Amino acid sequence: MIKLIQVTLVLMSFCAYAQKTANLLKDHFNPCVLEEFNTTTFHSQVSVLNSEFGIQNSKIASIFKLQNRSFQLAYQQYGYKLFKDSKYSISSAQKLNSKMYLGLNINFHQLYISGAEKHHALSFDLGYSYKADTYEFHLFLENPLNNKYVENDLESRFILNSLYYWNTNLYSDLQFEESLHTGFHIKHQLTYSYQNFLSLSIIQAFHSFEYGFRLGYKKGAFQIYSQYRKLTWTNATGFALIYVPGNE
Amino acid sequence: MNKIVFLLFWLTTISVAQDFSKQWRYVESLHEKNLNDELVEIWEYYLQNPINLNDSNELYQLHELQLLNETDLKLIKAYCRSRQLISIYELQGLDINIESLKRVKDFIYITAKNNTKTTSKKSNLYLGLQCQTPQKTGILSREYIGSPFKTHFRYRSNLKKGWSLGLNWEKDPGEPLWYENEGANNFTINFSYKQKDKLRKILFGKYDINIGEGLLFGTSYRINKPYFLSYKPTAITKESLSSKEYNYFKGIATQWKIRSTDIDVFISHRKLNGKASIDKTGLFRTSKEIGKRKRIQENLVGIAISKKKRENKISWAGIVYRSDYLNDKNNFFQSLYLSKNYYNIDYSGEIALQNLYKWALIQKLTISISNNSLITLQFRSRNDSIFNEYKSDYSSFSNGYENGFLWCFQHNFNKKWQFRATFDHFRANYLKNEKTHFSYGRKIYSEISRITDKRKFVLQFQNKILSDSEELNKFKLYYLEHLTSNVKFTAKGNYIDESGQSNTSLQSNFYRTSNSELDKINISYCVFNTQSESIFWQAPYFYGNYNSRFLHGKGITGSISYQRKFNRATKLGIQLTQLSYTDRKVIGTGNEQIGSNSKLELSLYIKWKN
Repeated sequence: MIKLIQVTLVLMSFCAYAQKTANLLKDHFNPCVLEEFNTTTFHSQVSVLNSEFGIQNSKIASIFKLQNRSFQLAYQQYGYKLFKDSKYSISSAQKLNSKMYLGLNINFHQLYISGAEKHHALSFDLGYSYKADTYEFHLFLENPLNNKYVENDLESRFILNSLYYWNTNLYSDLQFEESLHTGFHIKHQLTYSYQNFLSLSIIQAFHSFEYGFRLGYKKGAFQIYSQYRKLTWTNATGFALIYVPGNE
Repeated sequence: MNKIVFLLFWLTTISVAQDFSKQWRYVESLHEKNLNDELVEIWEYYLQNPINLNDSNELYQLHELQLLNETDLKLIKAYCRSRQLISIYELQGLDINIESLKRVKDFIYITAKNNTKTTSKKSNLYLGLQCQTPQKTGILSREYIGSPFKTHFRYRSNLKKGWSLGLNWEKDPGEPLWYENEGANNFTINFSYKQKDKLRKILFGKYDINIGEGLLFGTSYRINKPYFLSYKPTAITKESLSSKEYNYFKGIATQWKIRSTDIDVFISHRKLNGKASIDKTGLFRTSKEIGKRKRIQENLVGIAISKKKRENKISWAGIVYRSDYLNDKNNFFQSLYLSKNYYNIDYSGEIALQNLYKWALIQKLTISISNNSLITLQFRSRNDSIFNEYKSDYSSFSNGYENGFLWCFQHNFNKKWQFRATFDHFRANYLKNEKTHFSYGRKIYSEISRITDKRKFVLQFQNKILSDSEELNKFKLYYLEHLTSNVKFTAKGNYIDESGQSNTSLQSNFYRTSNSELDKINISYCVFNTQSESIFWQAPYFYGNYNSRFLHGKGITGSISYQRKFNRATKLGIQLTQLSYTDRKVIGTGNEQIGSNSKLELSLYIKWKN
């Protein structure tokens, strides 16, 4: 146990890399963050929510520049072999001025339930960001028209993130979330990074009470993240791999 | 440096037509639920009749604006009483936030003492239109006899020699403009005369009566703020051009000033809406509803004598009141009010009597400790059967709780941080020997705020306990940030917990003003999710349209508005508001029902002034 604490402390004293890639690891994707990516980036994530049934949440995406504008193509899937909720997305962002950005996700959803008819739906998300020297605001409107497969079955949320940079290595991300389905959530993530190659994030959700840790490591063009989260209904472990070819 | 910037800003914008956005943003961050178009009507009135800071009688009117906190008001009053101001810019030398001065700058002016303001002819005209889609069942089935539009017309003009004229005509959706054989719908015409002679004032038409702390009569607008409750009306009678269809009087009111004594005489004759009880909805759309319109006769005649010297005031009022709904007999009301200031202690109290045997009283003591702290103690009590129809709305007092004790505390930690707390204990006395539901209770309000030129942060917490009822906890977060010189952003979060059931909402507004200040765009978006309690939602300020509502259930609401000043005289606005529920197929019931889970409202206005 003591060794575990020692290892944790050592890890916390390490540092990390550019913080912008951490935005890719949230449970929502605010398209405004695309403005931070100047080079092609590939990333994939997988989160195991229930190993017994094999319930996973996985995502694979590519960010690229086209005519001086950043785009992301992404595929995300939640479920297991008898139930698969898939989402194909294309995202882009527009710079409004030196501090403000506006972004858009267009999503195509596909629902597969074994033995039942397939369902399809289209939705869109809007993002807005404001960035000052020491703080940032991000607004995210997920599926604001509450589009659906059948009835209230696609998530519709309003998320407000406020980031504050305590110093160059440490920042807080306070997230207020109002979901049409699950109500209000408030979450805080504290991220410490060390010398652009190691990072540690502590995630606390106050309502409902959840917590988690995330550890990140950068080596050359690759960034690897490992995450553990204690959710109200399960324990989730996750991994992410980010590849930025230009960063070798 | 900030003050220099402010001065420059002031000089450059002094000629631009007034907009109440910043005033509205201030009051909505503090007292959201009590806002309505009456407040805009007050600002409109004082914009046309600004307050002379060199006139001690007018100085008291500053608090009616609801735009300054207690400490700022105290500082301004003390400063203005102590000297003859030569410019309103002198107020910048006081220890008051620049933003507070910006909010009131258009409502104040300076003239030399004993010198009346030149009466220049000023007029303003407002035309508003509102409609929604899909239509309500009452419109589609033709149960409602009027058109589906809400229309509003208002005109105010300063005529010659101290006379002014006001007109207001409003109709709600489904109501006709003109009722057959029953006259115009909600039409008001006011004539008023004001001078600095012995005969100070004559009012003809719709007016408010405000006596003492408002135990019997207090119909003027007040924000029922939980902190430092005080009615402090500046005039016994005041003309009203608001569209309210209840809580006003109609007739003639006059005021004479003889030395330091004011004598007010007023007469009112009107017919209230309702049959056995008063109908306060103000909606008369179907033949059944129209059957309740103007059915209860009410007559009133009264005199009020008040003597004021600096901060001290004593007044007595005697009123004969008769109405079909009360007991159809003449009732004699009396009110005795006293307010006294002694250094850092303020006392005010009122005792009211009905026919010499039913009584009500309220006593209040406010003590300021240094310039940074205030403490108020308030005690109130009354007979359960005393006349209680036009009282000012004290927190938890008039709502069936006849006895109460309230104390509140405010402390300014520094120029930015402020803390306030109120504890209100109340008890009903109408059934002393029986344990009834909700017979007593307690409310706690607390608030911590941080205000700078660039941002504002307010966190409020309320706790309410009623006997034999579930405990209620409310948290409210308000955040305002000036993102750039012409873009503002606000975020509001509500969290209400009622015995484990959560009711929440998250709202964000953007306010953008063009560099020329001629165009304004406001955008609002809100997601709400409630189980047991309603959440209050308010769209960004849109002139003349009080676009707020209580939301219950699950859904999304948003609005977008555009306002443009064409020149110094004319302004136009358009607003779209969308409300969608996800937990129901239709909205409302009966004639109010809309056959869809979403509705879209369109509001338009045009404002002109010279």
